[in-house]
Amino acid sequence: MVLAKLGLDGHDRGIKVIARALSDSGMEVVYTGLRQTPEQVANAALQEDADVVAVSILSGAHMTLVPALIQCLRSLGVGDIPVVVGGIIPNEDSPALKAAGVADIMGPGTPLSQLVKRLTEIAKSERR
Amino acid sequence: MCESSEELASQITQRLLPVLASKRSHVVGVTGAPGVGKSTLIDKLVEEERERERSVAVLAVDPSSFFTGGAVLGDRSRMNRQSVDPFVYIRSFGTSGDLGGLSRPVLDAIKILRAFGKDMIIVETTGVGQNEVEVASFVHTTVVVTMPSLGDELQLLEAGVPEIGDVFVLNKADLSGAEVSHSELREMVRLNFEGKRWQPPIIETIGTKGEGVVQLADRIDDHFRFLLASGLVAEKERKALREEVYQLLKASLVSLAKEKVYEGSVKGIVADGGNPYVIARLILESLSCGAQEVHGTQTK
Repeated sequence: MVLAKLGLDGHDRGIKVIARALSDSGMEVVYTGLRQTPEQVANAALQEDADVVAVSILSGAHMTLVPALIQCLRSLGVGDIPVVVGGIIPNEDSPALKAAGVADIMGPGTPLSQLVKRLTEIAKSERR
Repeated sequence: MCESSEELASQITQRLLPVLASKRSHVVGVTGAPGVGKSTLIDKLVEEERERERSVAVLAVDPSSFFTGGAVLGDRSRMNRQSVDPFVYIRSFGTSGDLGGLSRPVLDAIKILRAFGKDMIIVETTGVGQNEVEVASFVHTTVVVTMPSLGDELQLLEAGVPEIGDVFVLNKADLSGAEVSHSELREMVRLNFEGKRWQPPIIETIGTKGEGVVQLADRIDDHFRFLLASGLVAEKERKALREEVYQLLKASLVSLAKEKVYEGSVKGIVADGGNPYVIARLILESLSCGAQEVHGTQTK
């Protein structure tokens, strides 16, 4: 699983907690770090042969960054890697994100165990 | 693909053999204790190698949990800006179950990247003693990264580590204690490499600022040139092949032995108060007999 913080959001405590929880459940988690661009994350997903890409955005820039990420993945030929989004995502943006190709959206308040379960589910599903 | 099955890995390796015969990459191992700044340094080294118009691959190995098999692979986070360069390939690996430092997929990745013609393949491992020694068997040049001593002088003299270093790096050289650590390193190199053909250089670097990286790249190149000129490259590669065969055998034998114990072929013998020496010998004998049957050389 590739975990990423896109854009200028500098808060990484949450994503590190999630990374740890996923690793404890047996997953290999590649954490790409803070302030990543969509191109950087997409290339990482390609090189790591990711089963899922999970991005966290607390800065509100998700409507720009997430579609850009999906576009990059597609142009690299790996548009079939599911993308999951977390962070501060207003409900009204969910339909647009889903339409853009996001597999699921899990905001704060999602219990950690549910997050791990759902991500694992998505990661194990067949890539189209 | 090589990660998922040994059979597949073997097939892929077979197909690559003719290509590999004509390709040579410089395989560089970078090892050192957690936190010394390896990933940051590698990020700058990759940048420098790209300046020298070399294609680079980085295989970043982080330990997986023995219990869950999972891992958080964070080395990439310090060099991910390189991802967008088409001549740089970075891949993270856990150690999934192998108690040693390098798992089979990493060794396969090295072969594949060589076949693709990468000029330099950097293998980063977190040294915890044994792991560092192991990496040295599979690379041409071993770079050992340390940082100014946090009080424990003997850390640098950990058994096995000094002997395998080809290039020593004192990173975070701006921290206090750097001068003392540098002299300790110098002394250790003198003791361990007296009279040897290659005298490992000690380079001071500040990874975060990129200082000392040009010298590091130069010394790594020097070492490879030395290996080529002295004919040691072939010897190292032969040793690496032997070591890899040994690893594969060890893994197969261990799983075979585990099968025997669990499936109860030596049923009733693995009981409370048993003699482990006797039990082990019995399992070994049953494995040898099995092997002889397979080869049709059953002795009467």
